[in-house]
Amino acid sequence: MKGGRGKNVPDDDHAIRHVPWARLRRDEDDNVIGFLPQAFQLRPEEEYLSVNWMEYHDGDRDRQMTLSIWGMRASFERPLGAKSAFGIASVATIKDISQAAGARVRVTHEPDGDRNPGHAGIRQLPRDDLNLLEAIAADAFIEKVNNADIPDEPATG
Amino acid sequence: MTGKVASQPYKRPPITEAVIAVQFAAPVPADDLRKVSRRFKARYPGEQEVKTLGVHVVNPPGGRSPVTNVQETVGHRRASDDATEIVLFMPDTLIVSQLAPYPGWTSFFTRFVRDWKLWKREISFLRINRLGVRYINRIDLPITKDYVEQEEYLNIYIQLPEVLGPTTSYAAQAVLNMRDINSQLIINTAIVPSPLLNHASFLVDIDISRTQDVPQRDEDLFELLVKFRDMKNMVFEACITDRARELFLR
Amino acid sequence: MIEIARPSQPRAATSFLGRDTGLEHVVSDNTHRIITRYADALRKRPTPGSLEAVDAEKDLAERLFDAIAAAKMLTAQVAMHLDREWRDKIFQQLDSLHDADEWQADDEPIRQGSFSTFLKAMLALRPNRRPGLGLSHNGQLVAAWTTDRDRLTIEFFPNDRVRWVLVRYIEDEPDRFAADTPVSRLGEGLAPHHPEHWFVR
Repeated sequence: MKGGRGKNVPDDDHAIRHVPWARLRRDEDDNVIGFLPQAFQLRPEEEYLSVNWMEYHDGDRDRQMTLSIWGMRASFERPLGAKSAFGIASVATIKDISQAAGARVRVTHEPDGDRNPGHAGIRQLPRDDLNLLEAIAADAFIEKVNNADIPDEPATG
Repeated sequence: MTGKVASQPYKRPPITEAVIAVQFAAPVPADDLRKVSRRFKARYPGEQEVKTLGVHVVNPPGGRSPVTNVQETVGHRRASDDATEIVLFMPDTLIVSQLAPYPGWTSFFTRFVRDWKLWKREISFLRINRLGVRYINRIDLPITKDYVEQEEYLNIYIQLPEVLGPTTSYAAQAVLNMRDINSQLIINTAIVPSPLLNHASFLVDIDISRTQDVPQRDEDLFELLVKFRDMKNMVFEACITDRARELFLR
Repeated sequence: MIEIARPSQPRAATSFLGRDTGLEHVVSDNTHRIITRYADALRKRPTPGSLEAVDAEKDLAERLFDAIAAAKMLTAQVAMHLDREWRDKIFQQLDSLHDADEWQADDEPIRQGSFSTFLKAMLALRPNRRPGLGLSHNGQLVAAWTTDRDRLTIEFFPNDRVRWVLVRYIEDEPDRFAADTPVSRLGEGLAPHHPEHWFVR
């Protein structure tokens, strides 16, 4: 079995995070151009920033991404908004950018039962370092996938 | 029926809210109020229940201590999509209100007449015991020094003995009888927190109302409202200087 | 605090900014409370636009509606200083941010204090290019401008505070700057970084 609770996700692998519509970076005409720093801000009760470990799943990259997104969809209380998106970042880049800002983060596997076994977390992320969050938003999570472009998981049974 | 000054003379009038209020001698039952509010949905899609607090002091007979009753009254506020056009249904009052940007008397009064007629179709005759027009103006003065010379912009402010030193805040109310229209004028003026950086803001709140011999027929009601509006304009113009007018013309 | 001058008052050389000239030392606490209440009542006579919505158990749609309605009424307080076109755009953006179908559970709708700070900032900066707007999970409004790879992001807090971060690429290397200041110093803080790079079309 891959990973394990609290184990580090390899640097060569990727983290994928859901970003709701309100935290997508947009121009004045609401055209999406990226992610806001606030999309990577910890809530007060969170001990790590919730992401998914893409390579937890087998298959080619598209398959890994799709399974990750299905896992995240299953774990959210409400359906994810059609206009929301997912950001994808290399674990190594997340760590390099954080280190450059004086923070040593870890990306660890945090499986959420059967519904989202690929769940992971970015630990030790400073809570209020806007410079760092800006860099993570723009220079780490450089790939964007629209939620609307990923089909629903087929019903089983 | 638009009055003496039909057009809006200012590009950016300092009006933050304009209100026409009709108060009735008897309250409308809560169910009827809810029903009439729903009838206005098409014109004012947004609805909220709002509350006001009224404090009533009752002096019991026999020299006993006064009793203070605080009563919460719930009403229905409806607003247009952009929240600038408001109608408020309280148990004993119908209020039609306009937030900034002020579109001019013609537009505001036309809306009142329309809403008044719909109200009357829904609610049977209620005796009117107060009719009022209120305009809340906020004059925003740019601060270019570390003091503001209000008398350059306003003719209404408090005057204090020089020995007391400079003023940082005040609030004042004046009540006057307008005998020629058998009505009362209340002017409130105050320094208020400015919503703009590097500005000092002054409130000039003009409230004209009649509580005696209040017209009951629509024609007379509308005529009196126009008179109130003309009087309000006269009062406002008397309260400001040409320097203030320049601010509203930009 | 700004001093209000009277016609015959000679101008003092010293500024009176910040000096306490209230009645606190002259009357009892109780009298001072009564006077303050009367003064507040004169300043804040309720109007239809200022009445608070009833605080009751509300569903998501109602909570979002109340937040947007309050923000729109707050905008009316300064609408005489805003272009109609910009006001309409802000409203569209607010509606978009509070779309119930896109709403994240546990997010807070826009905080009125944050929006008030945003309005103050925008009316002072008057950017020709309007920002894209976002909302943090706890209801703080965020304004973002992007020119090529260069980015300016400002988060608005209640009590007239802002946090901003900007990135400019100079010869392909990013220069980053950030600050947490009162909104009154936002313009001054941005000035060395040529904000016209984002604000001017």
